[in-house]
Amino acid sequence: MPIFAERYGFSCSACHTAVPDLNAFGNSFRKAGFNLPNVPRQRDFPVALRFQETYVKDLLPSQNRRYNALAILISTENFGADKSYSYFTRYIFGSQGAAGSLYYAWAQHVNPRTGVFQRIGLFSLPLIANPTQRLDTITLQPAYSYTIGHSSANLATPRLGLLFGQRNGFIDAEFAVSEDEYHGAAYGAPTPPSDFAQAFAVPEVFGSALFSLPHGFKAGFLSLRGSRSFQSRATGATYYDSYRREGAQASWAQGRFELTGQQLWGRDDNADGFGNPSGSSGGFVTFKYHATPHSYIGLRYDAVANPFATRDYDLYAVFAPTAHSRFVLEHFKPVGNSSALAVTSAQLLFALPFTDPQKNR
Amino acid sequence: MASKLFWIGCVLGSIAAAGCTPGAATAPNTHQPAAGGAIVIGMSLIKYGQSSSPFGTVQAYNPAFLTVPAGSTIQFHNEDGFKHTATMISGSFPSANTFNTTALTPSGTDLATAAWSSGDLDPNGFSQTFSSLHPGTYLYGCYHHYPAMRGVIIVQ
Repeated sequence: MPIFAERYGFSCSACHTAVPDLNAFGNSFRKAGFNLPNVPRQRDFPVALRFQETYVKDLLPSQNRRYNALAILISTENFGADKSYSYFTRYIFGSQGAAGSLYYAWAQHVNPRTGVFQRIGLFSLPLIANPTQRLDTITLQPAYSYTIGHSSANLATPRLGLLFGQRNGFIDAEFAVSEDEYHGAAYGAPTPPSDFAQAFAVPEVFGSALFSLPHGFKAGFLSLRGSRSFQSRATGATYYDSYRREGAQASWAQGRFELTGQQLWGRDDNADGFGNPSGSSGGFVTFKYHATPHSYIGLRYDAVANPFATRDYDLYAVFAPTAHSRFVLEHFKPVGNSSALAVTSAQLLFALPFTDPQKNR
Repeated sequence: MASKLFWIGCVLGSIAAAGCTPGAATAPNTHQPAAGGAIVIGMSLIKYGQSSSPFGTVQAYNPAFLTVPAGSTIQFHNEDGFKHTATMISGSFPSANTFNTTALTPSGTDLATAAWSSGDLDPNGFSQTFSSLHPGTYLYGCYHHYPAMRGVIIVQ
């Protein structure tokens, strides 16, 4: 982000392959709480703006906008004697008819020696691939976005609560206890109308572990437990759905190549409010090739059953025309469903202010 | 079905990737520590702080300010979990990063070579060895993290 580039005198490309996708240093810096204790700070300006314009060539029957603009305001700063405390906020301006809303708002402490951290506020669940703010393409992974029954929440929905754990060179172990969730319009898409008022009936519990292995491999698992209450606005009738998700995750990176996979299995005990359980599953495999340090092509295979099965391929090419911007060309092709529409889209994204201490990139 | 496809994809992807060789620009530098007493300069943005030198502040290399006799051999070692380079800087330290992407490719084996560079060093990677046959002052920095990573070698 321009905030961090200005702070340490780096180029955007120090942390990003193509904004906002992070490279290894960017991820390390993020996990360290946006803090480099040994590096002198140059200038602090804790506000940045991200703007993205998306063009959709093939509209689904439910869509009527070919061009979608979105602006996001980000503010973050570190504080405390050793700057180990920080806050992060992300406000999404209204788009596509939806109201603006605060998407992330959290404060955290990261121990710079041990990597032990505690975070409180509105945050995203730690998944092996980021489905929202650092998404490496336009279309997020269906494995993270599918919902069950009347529930409006999925794995990509930010949670309100506590997140804590430890991140170091060997393990990334994170636990979340969530009291509530984000209720706004995620990334501009208006929330579908629903008769049901819904909330966590008990705090939701999430845990994940990702182990760093030799030769660029990482592997781990995740687990999620919760119960959700639904109340009909029309009749006042209430029902509860206890749910769980289990997942396996792995990645491999070597030279120009990256491979990332996630598989999830879920069960809802009362998915429809009539006592009927529902199983679900979803997963993806992403293969990326970095043609240059600031461009990549990717192929993602998605499969979801919630319980209706859908599968697709997502082919995309990405490059950074400048250190502050990213251009994405994507082709999303459903598989095994002749009536489903393949969608080609493009997106230009850039970050402001245009401060770049490194002029010759 | 989804889980089967997931694991098949993992295996096929791994096989496909193993069968290819990354290009030179970002190829991992896999040199081993030099035998015969090369002086190893550690590279870490996390571990090594700032110190002063007659040529300005130096940091994130260890030692960041080094004096060696002519004829010494020098090698760089990336001690961080992300990439670094050690790339020659002509003249004095510029206020901002002026490196270009040629710094990502290993070049030169003598500190007196114009525009020598370790290339992009992967985590725990070692550079090629550099000889120091010609007395002089040699400034260098990291393509990715300049001005927060820079050092000086004086060959006497």
